[in-house]
Amino acid sequence: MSAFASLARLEARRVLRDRAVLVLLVIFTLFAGHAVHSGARWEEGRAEAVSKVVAEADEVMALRRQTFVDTVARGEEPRFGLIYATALPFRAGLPNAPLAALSAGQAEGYPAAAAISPFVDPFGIFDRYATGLESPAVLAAGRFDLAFAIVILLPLLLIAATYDFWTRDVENGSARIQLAQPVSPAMLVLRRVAIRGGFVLIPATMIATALLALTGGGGDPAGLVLFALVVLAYGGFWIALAAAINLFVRTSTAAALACGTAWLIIVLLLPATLAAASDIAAPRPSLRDHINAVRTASLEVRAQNAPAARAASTAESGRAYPAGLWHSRREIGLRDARLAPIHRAYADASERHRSVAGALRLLSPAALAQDAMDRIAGTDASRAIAFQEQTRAFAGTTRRLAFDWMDRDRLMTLADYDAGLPRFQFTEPGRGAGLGLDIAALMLFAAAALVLAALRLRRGVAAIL
Amino acid sequence: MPAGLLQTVARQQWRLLLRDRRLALLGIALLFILCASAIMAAATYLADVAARSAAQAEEARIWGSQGPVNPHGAAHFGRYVYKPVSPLAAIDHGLTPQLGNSLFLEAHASNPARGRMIDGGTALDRFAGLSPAFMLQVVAPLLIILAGFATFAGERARGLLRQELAAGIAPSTLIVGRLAGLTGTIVLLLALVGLGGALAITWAGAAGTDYAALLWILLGYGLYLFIFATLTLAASAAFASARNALVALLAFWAVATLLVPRVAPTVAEAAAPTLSGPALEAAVTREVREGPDGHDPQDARLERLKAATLRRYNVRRVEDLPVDFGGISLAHGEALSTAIYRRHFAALYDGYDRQAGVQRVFALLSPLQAVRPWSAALAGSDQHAHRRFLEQAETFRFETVQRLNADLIRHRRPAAEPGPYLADAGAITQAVSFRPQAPTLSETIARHMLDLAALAGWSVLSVLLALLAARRLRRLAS
Repeated sequence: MSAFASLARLEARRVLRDRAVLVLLVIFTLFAGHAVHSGARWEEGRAEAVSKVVAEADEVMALRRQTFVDTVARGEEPRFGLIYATALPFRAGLPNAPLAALSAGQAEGYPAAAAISPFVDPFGIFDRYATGLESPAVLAAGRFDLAFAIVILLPLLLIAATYDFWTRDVENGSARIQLAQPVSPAMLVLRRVAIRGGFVLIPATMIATALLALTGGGGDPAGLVLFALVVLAYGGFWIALAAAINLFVRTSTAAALACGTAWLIIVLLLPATLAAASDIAAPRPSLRDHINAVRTASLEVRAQNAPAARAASTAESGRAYPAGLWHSRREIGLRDARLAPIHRAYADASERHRSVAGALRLLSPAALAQDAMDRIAGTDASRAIAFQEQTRAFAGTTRRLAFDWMDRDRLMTLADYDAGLPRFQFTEPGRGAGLGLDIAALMLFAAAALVLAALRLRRGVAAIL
Repeated sequence: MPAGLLQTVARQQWRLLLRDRRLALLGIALLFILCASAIMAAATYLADVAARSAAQAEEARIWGSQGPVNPHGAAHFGRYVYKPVSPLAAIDHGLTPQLGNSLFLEAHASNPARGRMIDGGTALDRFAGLSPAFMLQVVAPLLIILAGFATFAGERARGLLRQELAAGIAPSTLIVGRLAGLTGTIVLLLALVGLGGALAITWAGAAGTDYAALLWILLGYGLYLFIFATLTLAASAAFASARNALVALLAFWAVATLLVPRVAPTVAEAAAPTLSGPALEAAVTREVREGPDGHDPQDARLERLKAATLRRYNVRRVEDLPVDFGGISLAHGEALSTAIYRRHFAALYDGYDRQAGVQRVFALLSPLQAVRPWSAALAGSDQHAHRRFLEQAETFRFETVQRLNADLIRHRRPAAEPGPYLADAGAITQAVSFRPQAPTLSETIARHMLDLAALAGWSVLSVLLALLAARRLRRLAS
């Protein structure tokens, strides 16, 4: 048996004998189990809220249908909202992705539903569901989901397993004996840390992936594989960092301090500083100013059209739809044309903030891991934006439908009520390059930590004793 | 316990802390980040105050510039109120990022606040929240642990502990002296934070009570950091090696500042669930449609109102009424829907309060669960302050809408006159104004006295643990 194999077997035996590793895995399993349970409950609540919104349109139509029938039964003509296509209510909801239980991500920062009506400003259709009334304390603390367990807790467990893998041997003198063997110091150190860290990381990855699969993740096997890859890349970075730290310090206590400080900086302080930097570099647009600008422009359009509106309120159209609705149709065209640049400017400023924050995430392994898991869970910003774009396109379709009925003087009939409304269907956008970039950047961080360790090793064995 | 000896031990602890360059570096870094975050927050606050004030003035101008408009149309056009922020939010932004700053007030509906800072973000924004409060709650305890974990275990390893005890110093004197040294560091840190905080809030235009609130906030943090200092010394005295003491303290720190604060709200949410936005809206809509008891449909209510109005004016037809029945119906409907909304929102906010109560129980596991609500409440950035703002805005909304409805009632449109009744909405509602009042300091302190008591309880417990651990010092030294 080669010296390498002997040392590797020795390390494996030490890890297996170390009850701390088992304890760490049990702790991780408990955390991950709770996180997956908590994530699944969140996912369920969100699905329920979205389906409630989507069902609203059906409820309104059912009530109107009943009124329609009752009106006809009384021998009267159904009027207004019962027969005009311009009054049709539509709802759109963003369904959960198969792995939503993994991470709440940014889902609670974006509307998950829209209330659409043909004449409503297509940029205002999300206002009603802009806030979900989630507990502010929960939002402030962040959800205890699997992403939290991986991004925040897994590094702590990996540090606990590896923080003194080498310094302890330096302290008790066994490092000298190991280096006296005919083995390359670099391979010795790296293999040992890989074995020690791997004994926590690989089972933890398997446990987390299995738990996620049990909560409905089976519907997205590719997502599960990507999740496992992200955990391995992120965990690999922490193991590599522990290796580098062990080569730079000489005592277990110093290693513990360095690893703890590294965790604090990498997981809490660096991403928080980057988030603050993104706010300074590309501030979010002011909602207050946007609201005022929209209201001012709306009033101006209304004032310009006031004489026509007054005339329409008493005029006869001679068609199926009253003159007032024909006027509204003209006015909303003018209003939307006037508001479009205001909405676009607001959306562009929001997008600028997102793209700066997206670029800065590349500097933080924790933010990269979070972003990757949000994308896998379908709770990232880009999916929420895709929903908004698709919903606005759907709002355009409903408007065209209403206009078409007006043009053809077509009024709602009982058959139309029974046929049901057109429904919004969300088309899943691809996971895109963002996820690949996250994983690649995480691997680069791990490689950088290894390079750091290698540079230390190049200074000779004396430097690591 | 001789005072002179205590002073010597405390001074020695100070000297050791000052000599540790790593600690000095970390301490300076902590102070730098604290000051930087306070200055940034104060600058943001100042900019926000100016922007809010300008936006609110612009909103009032927009409302007044509607021209001739149907009052009910104006009620639907609605008003916006923009939430003021307390200057102390520069120290602790509390739940501000999770609570909206813009509230749309309109007829028939009470809306939740929009414009949360967490809206429209990215994965990076999930890590946002760097503030002086965060540094004091999470980072400062870690520094205290790093400063004190090796106090006794390290001395024991170097043989100093045996010498000290052999010199006749009682273990309790040693631990109290070391604690006095470490507490001195905390007092110095808080004095600097207090000074920086006072400058920041002065810059942000603080009032007299804000300084008093700042002192109360610092008292909370003083107790909080004292707990960590005492537990650190207790662990250092109780464990045989510095390594074990460090591992145990880091585990406690991780549980107290990371795990419990994340688990507690989730458990509280499960224990006291509240309705989601769509569920609340659906419940209100159903109640408005079917009546509070579910057996009083809207049409029947309208018919009863019509009959009562005709009786009141002693006429037989709506057309003969001297007032506008449409306006009466709107005013009546507004009163009903407002009562329903207020009840449902009160239940929602009560639910949040129950959740806060459940979270407070977790203060038994982590002192952070006591200092966090204490600090946020005194900074005026908690849910209670937000609720107060929303409730005052809701009163303003109701008064505004009902004034518009009252105007409609008074101006019945003769059948011969075509088109809707138009009026100046700004003039009608001129007498209604919105000036939100924040909770008073004494009210806030009284509401959070339990949190302060929890911190005091933790302090006493940690001192007892430290004194108990002191008994082990002789055994460790031998």
